Amino acid sequence: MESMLKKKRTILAFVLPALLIYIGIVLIPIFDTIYHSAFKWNILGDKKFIGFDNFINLFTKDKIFMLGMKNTFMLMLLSLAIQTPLAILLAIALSGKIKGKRYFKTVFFLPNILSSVAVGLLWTFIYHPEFGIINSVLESIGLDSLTRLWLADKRTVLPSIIVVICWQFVGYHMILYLAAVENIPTEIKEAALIDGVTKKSMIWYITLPLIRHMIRIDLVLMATGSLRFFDLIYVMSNGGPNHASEVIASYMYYKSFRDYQYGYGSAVSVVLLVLCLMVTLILNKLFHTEKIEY
Amino acid sequence: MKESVADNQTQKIKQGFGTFFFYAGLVALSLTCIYPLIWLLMNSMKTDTELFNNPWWFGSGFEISNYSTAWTAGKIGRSFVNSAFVAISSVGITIIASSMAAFGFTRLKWKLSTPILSLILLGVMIPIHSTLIPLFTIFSKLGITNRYLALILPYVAFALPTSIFILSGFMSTFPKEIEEAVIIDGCSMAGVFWKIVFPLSKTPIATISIYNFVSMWNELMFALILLQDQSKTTLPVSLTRFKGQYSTNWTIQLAAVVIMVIPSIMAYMFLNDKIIESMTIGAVKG
Repeated sequence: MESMLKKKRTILAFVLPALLIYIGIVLIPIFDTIYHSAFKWNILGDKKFIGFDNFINLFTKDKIFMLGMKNTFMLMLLSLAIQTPLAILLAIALSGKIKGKRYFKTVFFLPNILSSVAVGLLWTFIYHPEFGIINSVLESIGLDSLTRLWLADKRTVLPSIIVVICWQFVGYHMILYLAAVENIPTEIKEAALIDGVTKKSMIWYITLPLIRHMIRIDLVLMATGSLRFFDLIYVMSNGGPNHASEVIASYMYYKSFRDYQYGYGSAVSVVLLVLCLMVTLILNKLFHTEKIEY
Repeated sequence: MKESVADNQTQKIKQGFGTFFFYAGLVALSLTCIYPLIWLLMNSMKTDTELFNNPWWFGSGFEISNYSTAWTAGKIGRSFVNSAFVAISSVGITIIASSMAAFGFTRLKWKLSTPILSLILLGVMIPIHSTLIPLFTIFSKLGITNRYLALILPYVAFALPTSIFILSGFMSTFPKEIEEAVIIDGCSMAGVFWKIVFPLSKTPIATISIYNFVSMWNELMFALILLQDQSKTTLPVSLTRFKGQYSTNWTIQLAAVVIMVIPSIMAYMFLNDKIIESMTIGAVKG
């Protein structure tokens, strides 16, 4: 029996297919990207080793890249600042015995299952200056002065896209928190009520501390998700107008597959990879929590 | 005494107001989620002129021709079939490769099991962007950028970490006696897996199938770059190209978007609880 569980050939047969695909498509390319980030490599012409020059250029000379970094962090902070409280509040609101709970849960989650391309196109229409909902509403309530070309104006393009991000994803985060909130045993809440804790302070002193495990997971998810953000930007503004909504991922795409500067594009994606790993580590350190078992 | 009755009444009125605003708020938010989709559907059945004159409510007729134009002339139909083929094959391969691997990691006994499993689970943190350039250059050299394989391989590879994570969590809870009994009966290891473990794992397999199908059906970045053959392109990519091709034919574009979201919404209507659970389980268990 034991010997059958240890047979080398059996083990290889089970694990190898997945392992080979993973090594070939994920691991080797990662190292290839890191390696090529040290080269000047355009589609035509030879590869030339240039050490850290790509990175030095990125951080000292490349204004568009710095703008992309700024936009990415802006997008991350605003997503966190808007979505986290909203998602937690919604989760708390839906956690009790309320009417239509299933309906609200299902509807709030709905935008998540749609492709970001479809969502991006849909909102491009909603922001459309002539027939879009936003400008029509503003006109019908007499605020004509506020109407604008939302996605073609460099001041409004990024906030407009952030609205869409929140629209699409807040329901996802709500579901995560809902599971955590509903896991809190009712005895704890009842005991708190008997001790004279009001419903409002209950959120601060009971609910939030008891869901901090999920808050940490969710912050990591949201932060790394924001760093990787691409689809909605590509569809709604393609980084424009004039790079005003460029983010790291869209810039990587632009440099690699529009300018065909593979070496430089590799450097951008190395920065992205490092940021993702760093953010995960930092947030996990900052919010070091044990999973609470009841 | 009188005062407390009055207090009680104001309390009740306050509560009533509270409940009213509570539900009004939730209903308003749920409308913000739904109305854009209804707006999309209504306007996809109008002519362009009607869209500009009356974007708010249903039009007078139903321009079904928008859909047929998008489906055939806009080649959305072809992409629909491509997307379905790529997603279904990738999900199929993912199910087999990840359940076999999870079995190997949790049920078989070997020294490197834990470190290699950790190495695969690390993949959850890796952004697909960091593999894009090498995959494109390697696939170009191998000449597979005009084959579905150029998408299926990366989809499977990036689906493996989460899938193996969920499946090995599940399989590690099986009692050891299962294998013992079957092996004593003279069954091979492959028999144990295919006849016992695989069928027993159908719940987590359903979960990873839904989760992976949704993300593969919706995936844009790989599809944009790795599959160069226009006739094989998937829905998200054709929709972005469609936008350029029919840039002023708004209602046809709207119809194309409807075609893309209809299957997702239909599936969601019937399987909403299962879909919600599948899409969030990776995070909840993390």
